[in-house]
Amino acid sequence: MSLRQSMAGLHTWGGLLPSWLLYVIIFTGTVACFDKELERWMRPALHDDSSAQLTAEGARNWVMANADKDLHAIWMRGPNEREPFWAVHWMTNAGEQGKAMLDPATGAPLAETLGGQFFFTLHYNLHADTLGMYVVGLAGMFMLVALVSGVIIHRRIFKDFFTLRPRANGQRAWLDAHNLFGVVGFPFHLLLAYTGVVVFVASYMPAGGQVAYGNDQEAYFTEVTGSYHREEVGRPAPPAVSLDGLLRDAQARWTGAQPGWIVIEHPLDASAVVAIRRADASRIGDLGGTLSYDAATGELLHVQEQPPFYRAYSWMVGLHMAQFGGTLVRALYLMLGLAGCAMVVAGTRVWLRKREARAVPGVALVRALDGAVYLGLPVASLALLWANRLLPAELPWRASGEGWTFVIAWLAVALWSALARHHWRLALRSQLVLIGLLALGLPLLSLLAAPNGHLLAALPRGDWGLVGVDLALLAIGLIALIQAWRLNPDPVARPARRAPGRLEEAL
Amino acid sequence: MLLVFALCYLGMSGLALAMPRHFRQLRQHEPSGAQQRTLRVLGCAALAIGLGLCVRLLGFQIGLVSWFCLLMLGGLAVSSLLAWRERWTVPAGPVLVALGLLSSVV
Repeated sequence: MSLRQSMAGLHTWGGLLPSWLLYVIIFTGTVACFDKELERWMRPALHDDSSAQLTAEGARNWVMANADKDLHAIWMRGPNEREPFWAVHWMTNAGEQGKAMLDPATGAPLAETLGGQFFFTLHYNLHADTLGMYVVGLAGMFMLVALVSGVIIHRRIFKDFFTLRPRANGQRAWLDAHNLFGVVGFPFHLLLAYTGVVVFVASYMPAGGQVAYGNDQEAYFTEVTGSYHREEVGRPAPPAVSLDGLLRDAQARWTGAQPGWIVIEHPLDASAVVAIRRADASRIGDLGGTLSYDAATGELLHVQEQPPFYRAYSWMVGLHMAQFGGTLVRALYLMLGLAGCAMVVAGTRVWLRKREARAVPGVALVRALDGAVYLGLPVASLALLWANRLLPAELPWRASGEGWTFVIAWLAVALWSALARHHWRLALRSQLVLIGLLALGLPLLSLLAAPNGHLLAALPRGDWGLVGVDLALLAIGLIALIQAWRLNPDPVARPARRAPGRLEEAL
Repeated sequence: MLLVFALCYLGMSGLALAMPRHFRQLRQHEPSGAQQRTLRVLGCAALAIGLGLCVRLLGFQIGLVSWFCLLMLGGLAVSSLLAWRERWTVPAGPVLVALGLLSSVV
């Protein structure tokens, strides 16, 4: 067996089996390019620009008053342009975690919602914590394998570089589409798959750290990141110095750079440390420079200096997270992410087309999975946004209601695809119509449910974050409806007029 | 930035049309060797100018990353037009450049 033949088998099966999982990861990662815009879209309380009243001091006091009494650490992030609210997270000595989003105008917690964060978490751990993180890492490795083996088995990478023949027979057209999105987008797919796996490298390959540091993971991370850590001394903390004063001091030391996350370690102990991280969107990698202060005296204890290895790591993570370069870079990542989805979708279509005529076992299963995942996930995501707009803000179970809506909508589409696998064109068409109606309905629903956030209110304000989400929904809805209209439910009647390759745009 | 995308599109369409298959799509005959070379040189020049402009606008690191993204999207745009609207492939280049110049002035 030649190298090319063995790689062809690897690419076919190593690509097909994780393709639905990869689609979920790539799709949610694509949505997560604008997770913060979506987060604000899902929180109507933040739609009008209200001035920030709540200070860092106020946010810390809120946590001290409302969290459990044996606080181990607090993480807080102040309002900024994309996220105009205070995010506070805390952990107790027992390891229990809590979080809240505080309205900067009133200082009260914002209404419950899963927010845009939902898609980001789904992207990196499928909402399954450590296990999910390992599953995603494995999928990322499979994507790297599929990309490299794909290059090896592609006979005419440069000759077919720009080739797309939508009017050719089904398999040829889908193979062209798979190759085009894979080859032209290759640098993006390769880099994003690689840097995505790199993010959790310390968890995927923990052996080195465990050998060198034993079980002292804290010492390992402190040394690797070049940061500062102080052990508890067991005495109660004296009154703390003003956090806002420390923030002003940090900004002066960084010559104007904005503070990002603020970490307060064991705030109730005399050894309490306030670490202020730097937020710098003008660079790809985080440059470090975290300032650690004594919480009681305000004395500067330590300035973070990243070791060269960690700087390289930060750069790769930064390249993946796309928090640099503003909306432009995020929009480019979004479009290339869609190209990644298209590559995965077209790949399974090639597998199907090649085997459909021969009635190979598994064709019906793959077809049902295609419908269940490729259309089920967008439907479920739109259903989640509908739940966000329909469930009243004061409902205590609003967030879990959104989650259940997402799950039930996805299960319903999956069941629908499984039952209709022998009439899959009809099912595909009606699912596209459903996506179109759900997407077009959301901006209309916002007219009623988000008085300050709908298109007519946000456009005159020049609030492009909210306008962008609504315009994107309108575009998705129109494309889905047009594709549904063009999709021929009876392929025998007009075989030449079908337009394969277009479908992925609708997804 | 639209101008950088226009230059990436122009460059990618130059490289595509230098290939006999795509040249035939538009001109019904084979390209001569000189035509192929001219298209390749012009295409590469457009890409290089685009890169220079992008780095100048956004700095080296972010400029380079953005240019690569625009390059890939330019390639996808050229392929899509060649597949569905082949007559628009060539005119789209100057139109994009004009729009890009306009947007950078405004």
